Amino acid sequence: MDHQKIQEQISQFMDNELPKELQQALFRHLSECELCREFFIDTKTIHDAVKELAYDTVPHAMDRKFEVLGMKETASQFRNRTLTISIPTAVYSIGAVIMMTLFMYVVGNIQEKYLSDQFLQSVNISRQQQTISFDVN
Amino acid sequence: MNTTTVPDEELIVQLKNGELNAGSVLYIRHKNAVYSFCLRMLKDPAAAQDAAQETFLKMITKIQSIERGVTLKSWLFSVARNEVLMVVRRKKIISMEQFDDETVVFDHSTPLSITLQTEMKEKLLTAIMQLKPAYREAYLLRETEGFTYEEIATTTLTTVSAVKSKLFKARAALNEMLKPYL
Repeated sequence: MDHQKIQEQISQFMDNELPKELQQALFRHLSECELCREFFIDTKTIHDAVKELAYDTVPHAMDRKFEVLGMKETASQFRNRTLTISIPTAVYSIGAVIMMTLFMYVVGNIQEKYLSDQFLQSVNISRQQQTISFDVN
Repeated sequence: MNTTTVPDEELIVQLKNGELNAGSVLYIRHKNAVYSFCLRMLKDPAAAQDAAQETFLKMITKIQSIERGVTLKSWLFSVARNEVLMVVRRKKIISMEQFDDETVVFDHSTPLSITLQTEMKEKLLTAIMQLKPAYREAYLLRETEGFTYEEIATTTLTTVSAVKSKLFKARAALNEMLKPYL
């Protein structure tokens, strides 16, 4: 029996790539051949241990580079969004600002007129009081 | 949206449409696997970082070139392998011939008995690192990434029968190196 060929089959068996019809012959050989049985056990032990090997973690520097890249993209997306305000939105916004300014102007004027009227009224009252007091004297 | 459950294929479509968040999810999902592969191939953390970084930059910039039916993992490892080869060429870490050298399966120059640590996993990792690059890449893609023979053949630009042969030789070499510890 060609031991290398059997050991190649063991390697394929570990990968679930050995056809079913060859598996029976393989196990028959393993029950008789100590050399190949030892190869099978060693290969299986290592195969199982490799499955438990954890991945190495990427260095923080690499993560940071991709974070910076992401932040740049986010910033450019934000810039694009502020630049692409639609024309109707812009017209409505400007209109709203003008209306607000006019409203403030009108309210201001009314208030000013009211206050000045009140002031003049109070001045007139005080003058009248002064005249009365002079008369009394 | 819980992005951990979204399949790679869907995230690729999103990234192709300019949704960069999808790229971040793919990066987080595959970064350690790609970096580990680069590190175990190059044995140099700085060089591995260069190769892995380039791989993910290519994922973002060349996402449009990923064709339907090709898995992202397979595409990423093909790119990572190329980047490893580029770093090897640039830094001359290992000679290019070693990638195709069929005569020697592992490096005898560093006696395992000296380099091995106490932990079995470290011993195993040390032994894997001593495999010649052509065997190591096939072995890592199969054992740690679960690639099929066809996927390994596509990724490493070789044939399925060559993959079978490389995996057998890698396993035989590992058995030999780790025999005293098994």
